[in-house]
Parts: sequence; structure tokens; C-alpha cells
Amino acid sequence: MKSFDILLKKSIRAEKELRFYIYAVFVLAAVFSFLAFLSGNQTFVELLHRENGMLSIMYMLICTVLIAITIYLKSLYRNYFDQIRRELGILISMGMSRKRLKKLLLVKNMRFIIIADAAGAAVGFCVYVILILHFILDRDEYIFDGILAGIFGPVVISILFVCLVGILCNHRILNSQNIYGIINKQDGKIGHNVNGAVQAVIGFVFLMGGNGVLLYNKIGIAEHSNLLPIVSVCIVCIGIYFSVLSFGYWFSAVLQKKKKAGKDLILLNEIRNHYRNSAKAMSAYAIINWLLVFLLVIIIMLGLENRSLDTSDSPFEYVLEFGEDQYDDMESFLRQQQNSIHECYMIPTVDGYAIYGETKITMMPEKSYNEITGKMLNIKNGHTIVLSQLDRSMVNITKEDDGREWHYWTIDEEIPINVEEKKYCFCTDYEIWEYLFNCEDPQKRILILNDKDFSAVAQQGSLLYKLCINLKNNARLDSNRIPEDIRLVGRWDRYLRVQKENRILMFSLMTMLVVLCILLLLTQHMQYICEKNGRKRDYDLQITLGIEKDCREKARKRSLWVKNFLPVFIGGLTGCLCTICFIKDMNLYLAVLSFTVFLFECIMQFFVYFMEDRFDS
Amino acid sequence: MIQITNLGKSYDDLKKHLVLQGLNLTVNDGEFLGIMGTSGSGKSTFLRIVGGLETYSAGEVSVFGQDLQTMKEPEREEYRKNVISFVFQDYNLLSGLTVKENIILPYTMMEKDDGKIEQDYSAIAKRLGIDEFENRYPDEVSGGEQQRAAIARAVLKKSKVLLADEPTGSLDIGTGRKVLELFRKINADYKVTVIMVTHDVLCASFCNRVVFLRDGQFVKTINKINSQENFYRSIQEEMGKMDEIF
Repeated sequence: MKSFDILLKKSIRAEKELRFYIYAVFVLAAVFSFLAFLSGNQTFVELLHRENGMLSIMYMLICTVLIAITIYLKSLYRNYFDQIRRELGILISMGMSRKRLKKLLLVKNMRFIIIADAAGAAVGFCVYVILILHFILDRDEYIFDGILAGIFGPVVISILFVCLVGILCNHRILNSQNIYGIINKQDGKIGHNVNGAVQAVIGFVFLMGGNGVLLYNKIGIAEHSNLLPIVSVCIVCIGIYFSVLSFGYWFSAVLQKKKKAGKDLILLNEIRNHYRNSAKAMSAYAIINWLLVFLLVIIIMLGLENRSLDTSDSPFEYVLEFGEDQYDDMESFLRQQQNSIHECYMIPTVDGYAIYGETKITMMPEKSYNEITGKMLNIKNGHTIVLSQLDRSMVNITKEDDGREWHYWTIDEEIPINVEEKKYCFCTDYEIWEYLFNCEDPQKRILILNDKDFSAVAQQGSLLYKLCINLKNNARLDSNRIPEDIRLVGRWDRYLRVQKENRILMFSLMTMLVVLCILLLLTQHMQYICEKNGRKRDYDLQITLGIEKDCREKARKRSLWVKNFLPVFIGGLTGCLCTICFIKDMNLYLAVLSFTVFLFECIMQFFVYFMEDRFDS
Repeated sequence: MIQITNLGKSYDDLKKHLVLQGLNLTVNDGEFLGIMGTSGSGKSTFLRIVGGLETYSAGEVSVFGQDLQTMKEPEREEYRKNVISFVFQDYNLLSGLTVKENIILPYTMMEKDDGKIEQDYSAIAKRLGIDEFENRYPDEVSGGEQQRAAIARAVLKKSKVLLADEPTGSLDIGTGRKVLELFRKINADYKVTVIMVTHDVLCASFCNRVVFLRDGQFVKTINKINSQENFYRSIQEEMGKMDEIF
């Protein structure tokens, strides 16, 4: 005689659905783990930091991925839970404790989830080590250092937490006092049309509003926080979500108003029932389409930027950096290289920190600037001119009425600087953008000071010299004669390094693209499983009612069109609009590129539609 | 004793569609009560409310002195486990268990001795002719066989109250009679209170009392005072009147 526990375990079975759920946990843990380790990689983070706003976008992408994983796993667990829900309801009706049932389910499933999660995270880590560290960055890092271990734990815990949230949310259904409803899968009242109207309005307003804010941020003169594009993007995502979610409502409303509405009853049934089930998955699909457009355009832009990379940001072939103690050695080196050198300039500099925000800055004397450029600045005592070694088109420049321009620091503002524990204050006159000498970090600002002011500062801080050299034609710098510990910033070295960094960035973004494509496939799958059972029941019923096959097929194909192309249209077009509004140096070419990517998405989706049609029929 | 006072139930928040309204009923211990009515009159809903499987919007349902609505969850579990047995209209057998396993499942939940379970099961299986298909799964047997299994599951528990929703709907006359005689036996021998929803006059004639439900309200009660034949005719007459109105 079998005991109650054995019978209980035997009565709750949905092996296929549970297996799929566990596989999904494994894959998604691997994906998330890979992204988490990538975001912890110093080189990668520094590269993104240099690209204005990209770091925020990356963190936003990781958050989006985690949210998408949460929703997907919750839906997948729901699919498994729906298979056993009737049995659970019957057991509760017989007096089985709800708590005991929920605990049994949790314990039964969590051990598989923990194993899948840990294994997936480990696989993601291995892929990161092989692909990013060894293949791309070409490094042999000790892989078990504290930072990496510090990421592994949180990744596993995050996915576990996400799974637990999904499981507990679904188990709440068992708390219903309406046990008969649990048995018959009645999830409460059907939503009224009023909700659909509200959703449609919210969707439209948020879509337009989010893009409007992005546009304002782009063309506005004032410098806004980096939070603004992130918030705008979130608003756009909410807009896409509600627009796609409400489609079932307003499309049904339009269909009902048509003269021959009676002929479209089967399509109306499809839209009202199946659309509602898969609307959330379709919204996620639309948002991912949007991200795809955006990311693809960024990748293509980076690629083009890489191709058009030149050395205009490195005016000198070499810049050697050294301290005061090596001055004599460098003078001797200069004398030895005299015949090879076409021109050279010695720029004394002092490093300090702007007290607010602890920004590292470099100070140099006016006479050095005058020596290199031939321009007189006439800087007064206690004043400074900010030099940014950046492309002007990359920043929002504010021009005052008197013609003075600035971006980084407001003009006529006192900047307190810390140099070796001593505080100095300089008032900014204006800002200039040009490449004075080879600079490895374009974000680091240079303050050009009055010669007298510079001397005072130099007495306090350590002098760092920059020897800027251009060689004669066909001459070479004898690097063996360069004294040790001298930092060399070569034009071509920098060019190759920037090129490599761009390639790393492109590759990393492409891996994100792959992640997004995986998420896209998962949402497609989620749509399919949401509709599968309901559609079969409907078709069987339609056959018994004598509805012709042609009629059913026509409605099915039209419904399939909506399911496949609605998310692409809304997500893809929004992606184009967002990209146009987001990218600062957007031009007609890039706008056309965005739409081309969108059209490419439509073509790819057509193949998916074709395959689904074949599979469905 | 089951005491129902001013019971009301609606499925929408605005209470525009009232399934039950102002129901008052007392069911004494050991009574065999039949509930009859036209389609959509609320019979099954009423039975599910008494069984603690659905909530209600108004009134009070008190079973052995306990109000169902104010019961805490452990008390409800105890109620469903030990006080009530339910025979569903759509059987509700667990598809992963054989017919026999389905029948003994609630009994094993009560942690009875294996020997006792087997003994009691054999008696009921033989009586209802279940032993022929006891090792098959629910989707491998007919509707009538599933219904017999669902009845056996409820009867085996010997709980204080047996609620049956159209228990003979899928059965032939002979088997249906056997089921009703079984209900009568457990009602007489074990003093189990039986409340049965039916639209069949013959089934209703097995009861001690029949109440008629129309538009969510009890409209008539017929007690079995005289002969079985008179009781049957009274029920038939009343059902005829209800059908005319309907």
C-alpha cells in the first residue's frame, strides 16, 4: 500500500515543463553571469566610460536583462504550474494543507534550480575567461582573485532570487479562497475595455514623451545629468509596453466598427483571447527589438569611427613625460637626437585635483601654449583658460553673449585646486578645444595659467615635463637611448591602441547583441507556449461548430502577422526614433542606417513568420 | 447541524448578477437532503459554498457551530479533510494516479492503518464494481467509471457530511440506483449528513427532504412524510411546475 507522500508526489507531475524551466535557468544564469563579469572588467568599464553615456547604457542593459530574465522565468514557471494547478486544487479541496503543498513544491524544485543556477553561472564565467580575457584582451589573469569571486556569488544569488520571486508569485494562486477557481483555472474577472483604453493612452503619451525628452537633452544648450537619458529610455520602454499591451483592445474596437464585422468574428476571438495571453511577451519582444536597433547602430558607428580613425588628435610623433629629477638626462638625450628632430617643445606641467568632484587636472604655463601655437592668450593673474583636448562636436558648448564659450566649467567660476595639500583658486575665463599635445586621457582637463601663477604652483607641486617631438622625414627615435622610467606617448602607439580598444568595445557590444537575440528567441517561445493550449482548444471547438478550414486558416495567418510584426513595428520604429534622438552627432546617414536596420529586422522577422506558419499549420 | 442564514453570492463586484440571494436553510445531523432546481438556479454554487470551496458575498454558513467565513486556514483544512467529502460534477480525479490510488488518497491523508484502508477499499470497490478497472488511469476509463471512482473516494472517508453534485449524471439506471442505495446506507448506518444536488426526480426520491431552488432562492420544501410513491409524485409535480415557469 503506497503511503500518502508517495501518492502525493506521484499526483503532481509535469516533467516536461519542469525540465524546460530548469534548462532555461541554466542558460539564463550563464548569460547573466557572462554579462556580470564583463561589466566588472576594468578595461571594458574604462572604455565605456570614455564613450559618453555608454556606461549608463550598459548598466541599464544589464538591469533590462535581469528584468527580462525575471519575467521570462516567472512565465515559464507559470506554464509548469498551470499543468499541475488542477491537481493542487483537488488536493486542497480534500483537506491538504496549502502550506505543505507549497513547501513540497518549493523543496522539490529548488534543488534542481540551485544546481542549474550554479552550473550556468560557472559556464558563463568560463565563456568570459576564454572569450574576453584570453581571446580578446589577450591576458593571463589569475582567475580566482577576490574581484571575480565577488561577482560569482552575487550572480548566483541574483538568479536564485529571481527564480524564487517567480515561484512565490505563482504559488500565491494557491492562497485563493476560491478553491473551485484554482481547480478550473479561473484567474478572476476578465478585464474590461476601459483598461485597454487607459493603457493605449499611457502608451502613446509615454512613447512621445520619452522621445521628446531625449530630443530636448540632445539639442538643449544646458548640460543635464546622465540620468536624464536613462530616465527617458525607461519612459520609452514603458510606452512600448503599454502600446503593445493595449493593441488587443483598440484593434478589436476597430474591427468591431467595420461593416462586415461578422466575418471577422474568428479573428476577433483570436485577438481577444490569444493576444491577451501573449501580450506581455510581445511587449518584451518589442522592447528587445528597440534595443537591437539601438545597439546595432552604435556598433556600426563604432566600426565606421574605427575606419575613419586618424592621428589628428596626436599632433606630435612622440611625447615623453618625465619628472624634474630626470631633466638633465633628457637634455642629454635631446642633444644626442638633435639630428633626427625636426621640432621639439618642452612643456612644464603640474598635476592637481579640482576639489569639487576630485577631478584630476593638469596645469601648464601660458608661454608654452604660445610657443606651440603662436597664439597669445593674455591671461590675468588668478585667472585661467580651460583647455579640453576633445572634438568640439562631441560636447554641448555654451556660448555667452560676449562670444566666450564653455562646457566643462562655468565661466567666471572660481575653481579651487588642491596641489600637494595646498589650495589655490582660479577664475575661469573661457574654454578652448584643440589638440595641443598627445594625450592618453581626453577627459582630463588642462588649465592654462598665467606664467606667474604657474611658477607659484610649481613651487608647491612636483613638476612633470612633457617633451613633444616631431622627427625629420625618415628619421627614427632611438628608443634605447631613452632613460628608464620615461613615459612615451607615441602617435602611432596611441592610434593602434585606440583602434584595438574600439574593436574590444565593438566585440563586447556584439556579445550583448547575441544576448539580446537569445532573449528575443526566449520571448518568442514564451508567446508560443502562452497560446499553445488555448489555441488548440479553440480550433477543436471551431471544427465542431462547422467553421471551414479556409476561414480558420485566414484568421490564424492574420493573427500570426499581428503577433510577429506588431512588436517589430512598434519596437523597431521606436528604436529608430530613439536612436535619432539619443545620438549627439546624428546625421542623415545615421538616420538612414537606423531605418535600414529596422527594415533588416522586418526581413528577419518575415523568415520567423514563415517558419512559424509552417510549424503551426 | 448546518445552518445557512441569509446567504448571498454574486460573481461581480457591483453585485448586479446575484447567483444566490437571501437563502435560509437548516440541515439537521444525519439528514439526507436533496436540492433541485432548473439550470443556472445556483445549486452547484450553493453546494460548493457549503463545502468551503467557494466564498460567499453575504450571510452566514455555520457548520457544527463554526462560521465558514471566519474560520482560520488550519480550521478550514481540518474542515475539508475530516468534516466534508465532495463528489464533483466533473469528477476531478488526479490524472497521475490510478483509479484505486485516487480513491484511497484522502484516506491515506488521514493516516489510517494500511490494513484498514485496504479492507474498506475492497468493500466499496466491490459494491460499485470498481475492482475491474482499479489499476487504470482516469483518462483510460469512461465518464461513468470516473464518476463511480469519485463517489467511492468521497464515501470511503466516512466524513460527517457528504456533498454530491449530480452524482448519477453519467451513470446508467442500475448503477445509479446502487450509488443512491450506498448513500442511503451510509446515511442510515453512520449518520452521515448527505446533501445531494440533482435534477433527477428518481434520485431525489431517495432523500428525506427535497428543497427547490429558483433564481437563487429556496422556493419550496417537500418532506418525505407518507409513502415513497407520494413523495416521488410531489417532487415530480413541483419539478414540472418549475420547468413550465422556466
